[in-house]
Amino acid sequence: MDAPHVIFCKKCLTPNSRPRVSFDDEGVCNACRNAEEKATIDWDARKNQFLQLVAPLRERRGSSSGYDCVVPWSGGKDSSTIAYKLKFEFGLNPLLVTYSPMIPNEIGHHNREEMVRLGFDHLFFRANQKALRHLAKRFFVERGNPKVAWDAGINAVPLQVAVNYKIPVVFYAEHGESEYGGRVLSEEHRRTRDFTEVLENYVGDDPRNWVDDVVTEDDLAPYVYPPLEQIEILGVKAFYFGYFFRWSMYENYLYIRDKIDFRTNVKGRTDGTFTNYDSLDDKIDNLYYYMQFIKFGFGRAVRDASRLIQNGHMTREEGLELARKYDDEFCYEHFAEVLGYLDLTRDEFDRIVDQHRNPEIWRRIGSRWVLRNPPQ
Amino acid sequence: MGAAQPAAITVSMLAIVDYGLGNLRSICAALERLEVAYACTSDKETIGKADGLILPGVGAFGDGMNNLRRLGLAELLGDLVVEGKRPVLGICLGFQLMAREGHEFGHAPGLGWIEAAVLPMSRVDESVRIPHVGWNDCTRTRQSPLFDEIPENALFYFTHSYHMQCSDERDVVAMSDHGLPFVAAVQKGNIFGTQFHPEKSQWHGLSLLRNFAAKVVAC
Amino acid sequence: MLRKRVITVLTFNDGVLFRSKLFTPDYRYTANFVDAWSIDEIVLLDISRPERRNPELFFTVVEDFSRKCFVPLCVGGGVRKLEDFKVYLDLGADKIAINTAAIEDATLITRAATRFGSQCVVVSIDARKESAGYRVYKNCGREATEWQPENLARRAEELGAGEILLTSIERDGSLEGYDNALNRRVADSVAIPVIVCGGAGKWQDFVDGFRIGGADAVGTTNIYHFTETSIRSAKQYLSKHEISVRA
Repeated sequence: MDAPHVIFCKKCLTPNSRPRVSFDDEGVCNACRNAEEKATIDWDARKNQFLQLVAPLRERRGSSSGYDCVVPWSGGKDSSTIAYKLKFEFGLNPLLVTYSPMIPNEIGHHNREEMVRLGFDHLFFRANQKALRHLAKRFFVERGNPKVAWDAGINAVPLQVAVNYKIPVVFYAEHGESEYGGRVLSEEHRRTRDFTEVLENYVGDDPRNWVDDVVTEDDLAPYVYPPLEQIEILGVKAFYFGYFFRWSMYENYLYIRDKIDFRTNVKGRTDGTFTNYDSLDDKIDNLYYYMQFIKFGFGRAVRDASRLIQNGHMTREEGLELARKYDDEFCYEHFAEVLGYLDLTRDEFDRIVDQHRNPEIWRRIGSRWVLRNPPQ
Repeated sequence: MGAAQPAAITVSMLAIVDYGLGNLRSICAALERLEVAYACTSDKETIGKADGLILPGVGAFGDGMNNLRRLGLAELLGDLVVEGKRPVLGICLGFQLMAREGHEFGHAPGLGWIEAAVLPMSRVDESVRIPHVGWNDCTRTRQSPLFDEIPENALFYFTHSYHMQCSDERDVVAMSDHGLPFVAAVQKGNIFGTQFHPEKSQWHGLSLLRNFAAKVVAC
Repeated sequence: MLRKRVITVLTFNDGVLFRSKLFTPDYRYTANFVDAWSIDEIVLLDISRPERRNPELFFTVVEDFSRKCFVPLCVGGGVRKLEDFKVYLDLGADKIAINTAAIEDATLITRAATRFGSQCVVVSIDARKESAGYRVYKNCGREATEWQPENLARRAEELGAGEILLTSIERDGSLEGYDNALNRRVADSVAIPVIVCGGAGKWQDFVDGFRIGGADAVGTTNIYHFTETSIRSAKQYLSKHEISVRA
């Protein structure tokens, strides 16, 4: 394999090994192009669209559950920013729905409590751990991703709540495919969440198929969407907040930090990256991003830097330096606890990790694994 | 499933007869997996020295016979098998060629080791599709070392449009069914044959091949 | 009694797994997952462009599978002449799938069936739904033809094909379920086995493919279906719904 199989975006640092990303003739990725477009978008018009969308919601209150929207909420900077704005800037009454982190931590709990203290109603759903731990281990082995079932849950539960409480709107944060490089099927997909797309791109498989020796059909209730017909009859729709308001994770961080005592990683930096304010609430996240590095050759630092570059908060050179420094860092924090959660020994873990190294991306030099194409 | 542990495996060598028809690579891969020594060849001397023979084949009856004759193998095999009582396992077309005659594209004589005719399968109703392709039962009618330690409900992979109709019931060791019953496996002394592909039938198929190598040939 | 089959269909471009004919690379897969013993058959399709940089890459994939899996292997993609059949058969394939060639050179079907046997010749048909019926597309679903799938299937059968591999272009790579109206059309028009593909999401889709679509075998391109746990789960579901499959 002589010719480089992995190339990096000329503007940010996203590599072409990222699933569903595409590069144009100038070698720039679609996430960057999307970011460029963001500068040309008439955000006033988008805001008006948003106001038109929510006006009838406020009026309908009282005839439904008392809530006018659901916010899938982790307590992190993005979802808390959305929740705060919806309530205090736009006068809505959101119901915050948390699909529990797999391994909750103190930071997440604290950040959620801060918002609840401000006056938010909160539904916290924790799926049965017998099934979730089994699926976490199974998918870690099969797909190198311990959060597959969690992904299905975070998509299904807010929707189940919306349908059961008859709340007509769900506000998700951002459309991952547009923002971070993926396939955007249509303009409408940037605005309205397509549940099928989410299933196909993120979960990859229908959760109903996960019945095995340990997991029963009953165990899968948290992971299955309500029937699409039901969703349509009730008129429940899910939108991306990031379609109506210019989205930047850094700006969200600054915003929420200003409003509540928002805690960040005490170390000052999360493993594998230079930031301390992203994806803080689940102890398994470090492993999750580390596996992304193993499978696709880019980790958290590249991811964070790319987003900051796209939104104009960092230059490519700065990002590259940080990526080179932190991207390949091991997921040290909480590692022992995560191993216990997955019921794996260190040897088993190492073996599974190596099985997921794509040979197009990695090669072995002596006893070390080396990226064929490190960020450049 | 583990690798084979046949007796005296280092002594026996199987010859897979290469007469230009059929996917030999799969049989070779299967024997490799079983750690059975083999040669895949049309060379008469090598075939003559082999302790056991495998006659594979996928394709037309007429072509099969023509190739065997052209290569001088029809006669050689007849000598080894009928006179010399060398163990032989015919698979699919190889199995069918052992019949007295075949009726594909007209009427053609076969090797004549088994009293049988090869006839087209018939579509008795709409649910029956020809060729017969897929995994099907293999119901034993008589005991045979081929099926030792293989469960009764084991399935094997078939892919064929013709079937062997045996005159002598005693030659039949297993039957299957596709609209109508048909012969799945035969044994007549040292002559064995399966309509199905053991090399494509996963572990039960591998067991059958191992039985042939270990229990039939190595004895 | 002949069982219904569950088949994994994998498409490759330059030796790299693609999610379907129309999608881009699927780096979610690594070569370490060739261990699903409960699968009944495997189909490997090469969708590399003719000017592809290296056919050896796909050959390696075929050899790899044929060495590790002792189930029937169907190989296709860019097969235009009889020699191509031989190349793949020698690498370990049991059946060869032809798509565009079957449309552009009908004699290839007969010549291949005569030389290698009907059971070796699988005619692969890609179809797209239109206002009135369906239309066959060739060249990896890119170019429209004059054919309706049921007519092409019938002709393929007459010319000596052993099986039909039918794919719904719109459903390919999705989880929406098979286009069973398409499947039924083709299944009812021929007396040779039909493998249906395109849209397999949940196990119920397999049941529907057999019952409503009339399939003899269901194909899935979803890589997550190609694990031992998944296949066993699928077959248990099928058995529970009284579809007879190999355990």
